Amino acid sequence: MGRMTDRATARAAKSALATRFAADPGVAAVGLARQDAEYVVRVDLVEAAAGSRVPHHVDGVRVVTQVIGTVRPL
Amino acid sequence: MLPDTARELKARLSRRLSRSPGATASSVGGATRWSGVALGLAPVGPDQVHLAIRLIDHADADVVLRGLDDAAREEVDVRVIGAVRPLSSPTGWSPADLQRRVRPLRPGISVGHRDVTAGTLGGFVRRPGSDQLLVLSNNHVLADSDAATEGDPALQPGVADGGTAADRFGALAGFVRLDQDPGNLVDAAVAALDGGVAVDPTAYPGGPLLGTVAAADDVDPDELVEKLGRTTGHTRGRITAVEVDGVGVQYDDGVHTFDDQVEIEGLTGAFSAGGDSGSVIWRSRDRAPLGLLFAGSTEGGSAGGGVTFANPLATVLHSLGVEWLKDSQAASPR
Repeated sequence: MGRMTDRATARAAKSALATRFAADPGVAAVGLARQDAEYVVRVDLVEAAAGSRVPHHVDGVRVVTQVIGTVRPL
Repeated sequence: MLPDTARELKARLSRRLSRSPGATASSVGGATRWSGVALGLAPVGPDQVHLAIRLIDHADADVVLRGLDDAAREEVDVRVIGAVRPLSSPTGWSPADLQRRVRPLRPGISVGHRDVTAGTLGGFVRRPGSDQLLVLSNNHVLADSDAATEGDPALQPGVADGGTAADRFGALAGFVRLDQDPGNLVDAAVAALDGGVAVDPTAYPGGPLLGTVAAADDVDPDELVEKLGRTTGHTRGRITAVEVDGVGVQYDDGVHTFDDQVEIEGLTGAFSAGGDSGSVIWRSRDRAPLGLLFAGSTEGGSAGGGVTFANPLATVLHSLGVEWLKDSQAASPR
């Protein structure tokens, strides 16, 4: 069984993914979340179709997605 | 005793009490001899219960127990619980209350620039070394997303809640501009209070917040949080993501992108809605203030109520050059 991903490791993967998707209008945000007691990279999508462009892992760190639509000031 | 035995005993005692002057089995107020009693069954083991007797006043115990034989007295659970009152939300924290004109000013109420619908007064801050209190909210609430000029009036309530020039409480005193390039960190502004405007900086649900703001890197996923906002009132949520980059927010003049944000979802629906912008978010376990609510979506989140985004409050304060009121300062504001 592999080591649990810590925050620093996930942060590096997140930065790489955020750069990759910076100009992608289908991606709303990229952050760090926790699942099953380890850190993962969470990609928020504007639309579900953009999920096909998101890898399941980056540098060994798990990547998960959710659709949140458009973000507006409240 | 067996539950059926306890039910019979409860019914017998209830009948006796109901025959007492002014008494009923569930509420015995108003009688000269009674202050009140409630009866029920208290489980103590498999198929075993005690007769539960709850009293408003200890003085009633003798009168209630007088009708029980010695064997029954061994199996009663008598407690004095005082007067029972209906539970309701504390006054002042419903959305209707928060959207009214409110003085003294307090967290959670409607505020805004004259050209903005309405947002939320998040809390009170001050510049280091200054006694002047400042109201904290968003740029897009108090500074009309960069369109305002320092010195513009700040209204409470906001225009959407009927605010007019007569509802001025202060003036725009500073804001962080929204950059068209990626890398915004905060949507934040402060307004200085006019002379004589009273404030109540500690009036959050549950009491004052901690005087120390959570460091940005001390904000973790899965922490439970709360906020008080003009539209949805007091809500509870969970941090779902931290250090969130590339948050593209659709403002009226285009998309502004924010880095290093905090993402939150409501525990039982939406954590926030339009008009809650500017709310300060605090951590439930220690009441440490940690975020300034500014944006959100209507989709996503476990409960389907959308997700909310907040600037780390420590970054907000640093960007504006202000500090959160310490407990002692908040208790005696000027």
